[in-house]
Amino acid sequence: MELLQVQNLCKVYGTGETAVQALRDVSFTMKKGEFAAVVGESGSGKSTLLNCIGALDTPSSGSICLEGTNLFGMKENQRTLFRRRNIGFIFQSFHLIEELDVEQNMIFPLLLDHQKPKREKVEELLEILGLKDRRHHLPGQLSGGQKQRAAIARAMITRPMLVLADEPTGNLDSKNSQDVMDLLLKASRHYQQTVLMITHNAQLASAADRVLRVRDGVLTDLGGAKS
Amino acid sequence: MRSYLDLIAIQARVNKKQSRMTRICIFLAVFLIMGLFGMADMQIRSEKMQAVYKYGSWHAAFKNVTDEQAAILAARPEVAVGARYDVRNYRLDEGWRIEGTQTVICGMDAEFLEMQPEAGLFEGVFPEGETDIACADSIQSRLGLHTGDMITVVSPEDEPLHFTVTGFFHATSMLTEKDAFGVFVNTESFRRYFSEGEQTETDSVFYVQFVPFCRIQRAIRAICGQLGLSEEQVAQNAYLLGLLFQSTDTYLIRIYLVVFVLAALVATAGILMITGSLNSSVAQRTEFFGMMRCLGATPKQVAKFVRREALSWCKEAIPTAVLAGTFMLWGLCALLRFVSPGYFGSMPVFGISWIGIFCGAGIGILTVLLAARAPARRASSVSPLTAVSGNAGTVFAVRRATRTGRLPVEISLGIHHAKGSRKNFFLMSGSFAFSIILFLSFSVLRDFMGHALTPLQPYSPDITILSPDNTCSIPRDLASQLEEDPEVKRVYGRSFAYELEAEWNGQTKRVTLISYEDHQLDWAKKELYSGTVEEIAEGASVLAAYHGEDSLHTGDVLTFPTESGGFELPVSGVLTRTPFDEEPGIELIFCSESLFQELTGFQGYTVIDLQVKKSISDEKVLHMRELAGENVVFSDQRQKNMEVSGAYSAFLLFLYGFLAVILMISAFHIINSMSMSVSARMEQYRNLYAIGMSQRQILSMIAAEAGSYLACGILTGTLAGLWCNHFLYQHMVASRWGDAWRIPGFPLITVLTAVVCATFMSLIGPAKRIRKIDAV
Repeated sequence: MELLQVQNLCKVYGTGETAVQALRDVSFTMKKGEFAAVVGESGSGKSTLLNCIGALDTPSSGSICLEGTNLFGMKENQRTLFRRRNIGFIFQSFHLIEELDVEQNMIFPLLLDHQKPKREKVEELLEILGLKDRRHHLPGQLSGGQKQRAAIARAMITRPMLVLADEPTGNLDSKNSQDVMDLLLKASRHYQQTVLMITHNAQLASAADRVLRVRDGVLTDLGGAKS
Repeated sequence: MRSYLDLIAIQARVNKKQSRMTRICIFLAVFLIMGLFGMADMQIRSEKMQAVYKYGSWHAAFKNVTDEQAAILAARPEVAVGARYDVRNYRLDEGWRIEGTQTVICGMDAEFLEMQPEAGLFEGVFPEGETDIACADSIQSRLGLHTGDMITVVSPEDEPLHFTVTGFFHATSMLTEKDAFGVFVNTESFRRYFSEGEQTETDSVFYVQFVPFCRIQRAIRAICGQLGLSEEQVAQNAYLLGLLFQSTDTYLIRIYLVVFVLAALVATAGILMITGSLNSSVAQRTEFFGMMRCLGATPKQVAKFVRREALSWCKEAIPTAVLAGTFMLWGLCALLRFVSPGYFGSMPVFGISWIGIFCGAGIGILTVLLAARAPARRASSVSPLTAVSGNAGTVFAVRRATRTGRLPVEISLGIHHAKGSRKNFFLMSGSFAFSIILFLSFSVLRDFMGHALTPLQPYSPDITILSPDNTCSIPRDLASQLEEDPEVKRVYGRSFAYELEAEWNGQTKRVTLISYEDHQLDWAKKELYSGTVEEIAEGASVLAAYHGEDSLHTGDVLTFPTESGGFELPVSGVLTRTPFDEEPGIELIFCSESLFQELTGFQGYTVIDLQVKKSISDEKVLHMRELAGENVVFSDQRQKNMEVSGAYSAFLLFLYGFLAVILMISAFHIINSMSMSVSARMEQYRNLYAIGMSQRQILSMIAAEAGSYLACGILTGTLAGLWCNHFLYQHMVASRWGDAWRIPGFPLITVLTAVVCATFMSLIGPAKRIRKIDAV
């Protein structure tokens, strides 16, 4: 079943002579539970694509549907609520709240949604991500890999249909990068979540179900990495 | 952690330092507002005390009402106290006397004393009986009376009236100054013994004190309607009603307007200060708010977060400010009691100003909520993209390139930073300008005070012994006898010779010659228009008074005719002001005592003035009176002086308190504004440092930015401040005393100096931060 449908997506920054076409007629789909990597050079339009899919940025034209819901067919407030419940974000620089410990950071999106976190779900996620003994540590007391695992836990806690990761291993060494990648895969398999990840690392990209390449705003589906 | 809003408390605990500036801003704003209203409250309280002391606590007086009308009036629910009152010989010209001394006689109901605390009995009881009388303490001490003794009041027709003394009250300042006696009897006795010819019951005035929180003007209108009284029949205690905000006096309404304008200005300063601080706090956390939006927070949730955060700072800042404000008020009350214990003795040292607390806390919370609106809007509009893109721009978008041709590049950049955003430039220079406007507006109160209250002059006497016929009849030894008393600070006598003639440039001038001794010559030095005073003491020259173009000048020679020819005396100095009334066509000439004696042959004084220590007892003053003898007017002005100096020092204290507070607001506001501006650009400074700009150059750039705000702020602030000063001056001073407005030079220089100094001080913090800068 198609979870994500991107059709004829275009994004233009600026107007007239200074206009820059960041995305050109991008179309692709992703199935539920699929793990895709987006590769491409700096400035090719990868982040713009991710931001548009995450409803952080508004496309100039085209449509993005998540499980049949057009993201840009709703009002800003509705879109925020939709994003909160259905899309998870993982950033290169973690963006953890420095004043909250690992567990508090994890449950923060639930609190924004006025939900009471379920203990067993929290425990399960901490277990999967290997953070049980770090649950009460502040971000400042964690290593880079641990920080990113905490950020993954935060993205997963609402059980979003789609997880968007913008170079999640960009600030990590190779060992930690591989650990994070494995955990991301493990979590997505476990919860049947669709993951779209930007990476520069070819080795990490090769672990994905599919690789999409963006060059000059044009997306090319490179198919299954293993194939 | 149960709600995302719990993050506020956690962040506050962990990052206490980060929110310190904002909390200080809130503290300061609340403290200032509380200080302002608390001080105003205390000022009004002390003014009320003075008003009640001076004029009584009555609110309205109804003339020509019958006893029946008075009874109806007293029975009205809004009337708390009502009493009839009448007076004889108030101007001391009707001839009622006790032991030869002019006596003011009052007739009143017992309730009247409740409305005149000053005239309250300190011994004995109210004269209820037909031949009972209460006397002023001056009668008690001078005639050695006790309650139960008989006293005789002599009518203008020399008819003796005998009364029994039932009690004593403190003499009013008017009685002591005029050296007159005062007595009162009940209304019935008054009508029986002191009524004049065809006096009827309607000659009494019915004084009324209304119940608290009564709308007095409405009550007066209702009473007039019910009793058919005209407006002319009603007098109001305007001063007290003004302090109760119940006056319809147009001048007082103008004063209310002015107070409102000034309070609004201070509240605006508070809002600006807190808004600036909150804005900066939001600007520094743009990425955090972007991240919140990324995690699914709605704009409403972000705005709520900012507002709650601001309110959470109030929880600590407001009670602390209220406490600090209360301590400040206690300090002020203690100071007032210290400055004028006789006058403010009844003011509680540990008084609580509920108005101050209510206004401080209430306006504080309101100010914070209002101030948080813009930052909350700003935070809620942060795009979630700012978190992922890393472009959490706290610096305004640049529209035009910097002109770097004429000035060093760092200076050009600094000026460009200042002008980068019109809105920011307006807000920053506005904050500088606002300080100037605020100070210039408040400084009008100084002129107002100069007119409304006359300060006690250094030469003001506490006791004056005066020759009744203005001759030099007071023996000179009396001055030296009085001076021996250790409780006497200064004794200075003057002799007057009227209607003398002197030749000047072939013209004959009419002259009043006045002798001055050393003290008076010393005081005259401060009033010199031209010339010197020193030569006068040697007895070879005189001083003249300036009264316009036809005044005598220094160097002019006056010739006084004597039996042996003429006595030539040069004018060695001209005085701008003298303590005496001038008559047109008569020159006031001042000379030494020896010269006065030589010219006139008079040996004695016309007036002996005394300044005494505060501790002097009434018995000692009575002894002085006895020493002076019966053939003088003995004027005791201690009470009047106490009233004048008490009111003056209280107002002075409050005024300079206000002005100091405003300068504090200004300095803090400027320092805070610059600190925020630097915080917003710190990232940019780091980049500039990384590409080779020295720390000194960065600081020059910041100084150029501050200088741009300062220049524009001074220009607009001075223009707008002078307009406000002019507006308030017209309403407070010119409309009442007719003085022409002049540019307030001293306040203007003071505030400009303070603003410039504050700008320099505002660079100290950034300089420290720049010294620690690193390129990473």
